[in-house]
Amino acid sequence: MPNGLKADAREIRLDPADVDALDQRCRVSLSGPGPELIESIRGLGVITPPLLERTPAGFRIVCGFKRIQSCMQLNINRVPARVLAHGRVPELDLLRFAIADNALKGGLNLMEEAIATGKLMDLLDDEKDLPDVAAAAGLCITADLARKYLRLQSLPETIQRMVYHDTTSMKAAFELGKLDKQDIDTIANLIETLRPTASQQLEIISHLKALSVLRQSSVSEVLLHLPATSILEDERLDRKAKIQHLRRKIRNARYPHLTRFETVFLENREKLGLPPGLFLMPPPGFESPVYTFTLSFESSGELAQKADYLRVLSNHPALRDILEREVEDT
Amino acid sequence: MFCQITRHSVTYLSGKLKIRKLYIDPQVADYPETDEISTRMNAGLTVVADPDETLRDIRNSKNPETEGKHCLFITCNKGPFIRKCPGTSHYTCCDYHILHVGAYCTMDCSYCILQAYFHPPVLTLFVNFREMTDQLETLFSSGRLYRTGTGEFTDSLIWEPVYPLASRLVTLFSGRNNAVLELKTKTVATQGLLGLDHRRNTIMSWSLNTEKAIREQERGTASLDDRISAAAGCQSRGYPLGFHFDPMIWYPGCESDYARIARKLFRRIDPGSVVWISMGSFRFMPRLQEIIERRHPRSEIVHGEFIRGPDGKMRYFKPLRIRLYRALVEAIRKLAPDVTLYFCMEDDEVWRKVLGYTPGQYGGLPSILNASTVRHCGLDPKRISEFPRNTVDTLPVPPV
Ligand code: SF4
Repeated sequence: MPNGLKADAREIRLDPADVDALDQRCRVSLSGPGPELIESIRGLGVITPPLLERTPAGFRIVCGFKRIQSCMQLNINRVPARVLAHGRVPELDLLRFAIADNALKGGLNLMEEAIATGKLMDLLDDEKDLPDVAAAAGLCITADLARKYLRLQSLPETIQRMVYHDTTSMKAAFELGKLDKQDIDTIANLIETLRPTASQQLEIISHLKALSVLRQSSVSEVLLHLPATSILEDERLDRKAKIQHLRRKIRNARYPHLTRFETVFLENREKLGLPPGLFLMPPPGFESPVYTFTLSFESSGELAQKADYLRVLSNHPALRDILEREVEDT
Repeated sequence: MFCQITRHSVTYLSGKLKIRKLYIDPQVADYPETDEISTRMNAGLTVVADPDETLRDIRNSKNPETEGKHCLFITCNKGPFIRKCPGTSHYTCCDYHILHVGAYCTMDCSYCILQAYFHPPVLTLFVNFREMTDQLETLFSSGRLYRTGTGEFTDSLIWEPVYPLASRLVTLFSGRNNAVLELKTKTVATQGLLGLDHRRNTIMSWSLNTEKAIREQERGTASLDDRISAAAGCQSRGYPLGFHFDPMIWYPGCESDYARIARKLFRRIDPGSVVWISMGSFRFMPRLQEIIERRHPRSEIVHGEFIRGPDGKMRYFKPLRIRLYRALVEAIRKLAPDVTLYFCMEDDEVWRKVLGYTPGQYGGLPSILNASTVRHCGLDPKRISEFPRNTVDTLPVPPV
């Protein structure tokens, strides 16, 4: 714990209107007070007093932004608080105290950790001290994570908001950040509407980005061309089905030859009329020429039967087409 | 002309690249080669004392791949000069030997693997020529045939105007019966080589690509017409020639563009002087994608229909590669049916479907290339361990 903090804090009651709510130097949580906190303060008052620092103009908040905000909303004009004398505690210690307070109460989310990291780094003389200083405030920040957090903070607000609300992952956020503002907004909208999983998001972002480069048009134009709106507006499809349809459409556009080839393979496999227990697998990406048959059986009779079937199959024209692997024009 | 020598400095006209910093390793400070290079280059250059600081600056810069092209390290190669080309698993390799004379390149191809290969990439020239000569002499005294080249970790001719290493190598290889040197380039800096007594031990090679690919992906390189003219110039001086269609890049209409290059090429080049033509489609380790996207955000090249191959590299979906190769091979075979064609890093299926045979049927790819080398470079097969009982007429020749 920062030195002297306990000794220096005096308990007083004050009017929240005297607090400079715009001084956000120690704010690391972005959310406002939840209804539970407001109700609890309405019923029981402020149980844990916020920590403030006296300033020449009044007070500023170190810990307890949400509590003060709740009191303001509830028009409470006498609030208990612990107050530090002006300038007695170094700024870095105040920030550490604010971070620790938030980290202990349910923790910080990714974006809040990024903000806390950025603020700590602003105050450190040597960035190498960050992991130790952060650890003392209850955060585990490696140098690599710190770099990622700084990058996160440099992303457009739309993306930061998505990370904050856990709508997207850090990896997808970075991918999204490589796009133009207009494309970011389009994809953000899509993600917020459909809520695909993190890996689905990455796939959608990377394919749409590629299509926009290949077609020299914006992501919205690419989506318009697919067309994606008919899927999004189709009331017969639930959210998951919409995601599936959209992903298929995007992939077909992104890999026209490959997806056509896959379709032809599936059609040919269908023509083979394989019995249950016999399954034909193509090589990954159709790169190797080796196809795999999986054969399951329960008795020697069944095995013999399927072996005979395989022999017949080897002359099947559909199998020949599969093995010839010619690519069609799209 | 790619490079122009003014009185004391070298100005790279193409690609607007200029070397700004020079580091001279104290170990080579007294070498005559160092003196030769620095006399020609150091006007207007900052001579740096601390290489680590320079490397750190390059590494920490926003665009290390570009920064590294502004900085030249003159040093010595402490490792082997001759290395076996690493190839890649699952695909047929040609058993080539790299002559490691320097690193990185003053030109700027978007797809250049060297951007991701060196950490950080920085222009490097090795000047311990004597050690290289010693290592080559050991190689020359062995019985087997070595196909070697300087164009794997750098372009073979970029330094000719300031340090005529290639010219010295041509002379060193001249008259050897078991080794040939391949100088692979995208420049036209052949002036200093034309009058040399090469005795066909040097194969002058050019990477060829479509005009669209050159314009969009190969910044600072010579145009297709200029490359072909330079090759024609070398042909007229008796040099055997090689051509590399690598990396072939897929885009709508690319098949007819590649076929057009073949027609253009054989209007000027006699097929009889071509030792080999290689083909390879664009492939890359995934880490190169990040570099290409960062440096060329609107480049289409990384957005092809790629799959991840068994060696971990991204490559075009195989049926597409086969289609692309077929278009080029068909055009080449119409005009130059006897030229030796080969694939760089492809498997038997591609060979069979495009060329109609697999290398294994003719003793393997190294053997096919060695045979073509012997025929075109005037070597005596009887003095090469691989072909003791062959005459030139009985060397393995794959069918057309
Ligand atoms: S010419 Fe070769 S070495 Fe130079 S940048 Fe292009 S690919 Fe790289």
